[in-house]
Amino acid sequence: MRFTPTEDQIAFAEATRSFVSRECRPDVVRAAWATGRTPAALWDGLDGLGLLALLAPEELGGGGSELELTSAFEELGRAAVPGPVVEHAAVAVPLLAALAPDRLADSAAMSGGLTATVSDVVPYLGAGHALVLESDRIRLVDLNGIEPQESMDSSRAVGRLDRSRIDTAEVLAQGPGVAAHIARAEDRAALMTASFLLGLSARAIEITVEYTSSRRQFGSPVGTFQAVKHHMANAHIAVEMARPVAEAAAWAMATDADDSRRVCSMAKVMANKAARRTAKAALQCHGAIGYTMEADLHLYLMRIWSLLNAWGTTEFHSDRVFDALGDVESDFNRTRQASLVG
Amino acid sequence: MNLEESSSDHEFRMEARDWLRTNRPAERLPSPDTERGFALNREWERTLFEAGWAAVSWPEEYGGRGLGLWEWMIFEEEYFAAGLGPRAAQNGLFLLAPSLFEFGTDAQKAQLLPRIAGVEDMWAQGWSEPEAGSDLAAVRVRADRDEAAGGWRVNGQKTWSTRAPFCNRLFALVRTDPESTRHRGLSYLLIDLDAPGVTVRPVQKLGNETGFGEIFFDDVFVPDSEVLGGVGNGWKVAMATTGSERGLILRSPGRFMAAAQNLVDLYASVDGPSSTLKRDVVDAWISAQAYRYNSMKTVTRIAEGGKVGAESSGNKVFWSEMDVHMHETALDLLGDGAEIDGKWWHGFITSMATPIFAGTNEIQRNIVAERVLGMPRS
Repeated sequence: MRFTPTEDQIAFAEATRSFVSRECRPDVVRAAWATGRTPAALWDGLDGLGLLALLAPEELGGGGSELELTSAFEELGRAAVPGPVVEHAAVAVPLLAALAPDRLADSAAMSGGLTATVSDVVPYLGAGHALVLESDRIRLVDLNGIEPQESMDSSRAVGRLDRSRIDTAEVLAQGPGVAAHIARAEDRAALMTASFLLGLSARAIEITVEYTSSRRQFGSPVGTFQAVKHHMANAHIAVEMARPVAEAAAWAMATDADDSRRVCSMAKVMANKAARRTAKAALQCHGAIGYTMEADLHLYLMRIWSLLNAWGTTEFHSDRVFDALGDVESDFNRTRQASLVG
Repeated sequence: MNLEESSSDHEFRMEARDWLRTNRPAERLPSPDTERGFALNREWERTLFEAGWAAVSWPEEYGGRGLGLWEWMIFEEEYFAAGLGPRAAQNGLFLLAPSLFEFGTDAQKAQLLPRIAGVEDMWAQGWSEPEAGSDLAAVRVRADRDEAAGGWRVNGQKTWSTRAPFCNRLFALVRTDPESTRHRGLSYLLIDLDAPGVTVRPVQKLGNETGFGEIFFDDVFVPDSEVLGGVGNGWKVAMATTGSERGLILRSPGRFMAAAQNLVDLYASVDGPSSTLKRDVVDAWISAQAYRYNSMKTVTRIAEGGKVGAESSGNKVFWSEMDVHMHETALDLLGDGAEIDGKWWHGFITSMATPIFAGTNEIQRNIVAERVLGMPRS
């Protein structure tokens, strides 16, 4: 047993971090919600890194696994990268690779990102098409003419699909075998959203530590006050304890382990709790300046709040973990002589 | 990254499981924090030692099995899953021993470690004083130099020392430089509780167990050979010990995984539990798993030559709050029955100590904020 990132993971995360720290500064995120598009330099750069197609087959520029992708998504979260990156890289690409590989080369569908959803609510910023995932059917829906709704985070551009648009869209794949692929893609999306949330949270903590170290009140930096320290320590502990679960889930996905669904759900529950706690703590410690759209902090907060329900709410994933408890045949769950606690 | 158990690890797990299943006490052992419970646990732990299971990660020459921390984690999982509880010898095993390995002389290690594993010496911890609880650097117990006798004369008082009334030895932080303040001028002494001048007075803890003790020193002689880590280095050694206490060594994941599983079983046995309680149970179960993954990362880091630093403070906050949460959930599930004396009620009282001991969680949060996050000191 060895619980440590692989060299590929570390290298890929570093490359991603280095790229987004240059190409995805806060003004770039703001520009995205003003224009309704992911800036081309950013999207193309992610593509150039190999991130968007990482889970495609090697001959199509992929060949990576969830381990590298999870590490990279935490970096994307740290930069609050706009656009349907989870939907494209973690859902659409692997689904197409498995079920409709010729479509991966379809530039009309892929350009600007292919988004995905399990409902009629779709985050699409810049994407021209969406995969709509039903229980055992995948449709390719044209998003032409769709308008963003007023929503929490403009950098997602969330729209609603009307029923007729879905019902008349092309069916890309259908049948009992498709359901398993969809289920797996949803697990992966929950996991990558969890990693994105951890990146957002880690960065929100950093920003808040910087701010509270310089902002003075009552003659001292507010960061010297124990109440402020404790908010940040709580947030940090929650993030640090959530991260190994996401890493373990990535390993479970990459090795196709029996318990991968359960561990992905655990990752989303832990990340949701950590992110919610972080967002509240970061806002509270910023005070009123944090409650303005002028402060960069909101780029992280609004995204955190918008992602808490994306790819499964806390309750959804908690219930899934609970339902799986009975089936877990692990080494740690047997021969219990009901007795000592604590 | 490879989270799969190797075949040799798996064999070790099965060997431990079989042995524990065959040899564990027929009746559930009482808490080691009472005189009778302490004696019964000690007897059981002697059996453990004789079969070579007392300290699997220690070298064989000291009474261990010569294995690594992975095996230790696996053994702990099996130990708690077999329904066994905290070890009466835990202060010696999990707090003093890691510091002995790091700072002890060869003679100290050779003499003391086998006696810890073999439960011949039972150790209490001498940190707290009436005026120095979580503010450990405020200790006042002083040791004056007795050059002629080759040692130290200790005077003062320690308090809230768990199981001290039943133990024969004490590791303590004392002030050996009378001019010193705070964390300078402290030394880490290994004191004989049967030595002339030592008085141990039992103090009843919450829940009526007598396992607390306050300890009075009246010119107690401690020879030079019983200073650990050198005179004046007490703070450094004590910090290593508290790192063990806050980190994974004292609170292994196995213990929380077993408690979480017991909670799941309790939930299943209750008529019509609410969805809120279901969420609490799942949260507890997920937290125990998260703690396990986090511990696996730590073990990997240590195995690869890394160290555990201030982040063990975050660990302590996490596991202690998890411990409290699990027991609160259990009592909620039991409803009216929670009031009647039982294992969850006892566990709950014990869990209520965890955010206080080993440095309160408020102190730990300050450490995380200042030393891990780099926030300004006041």
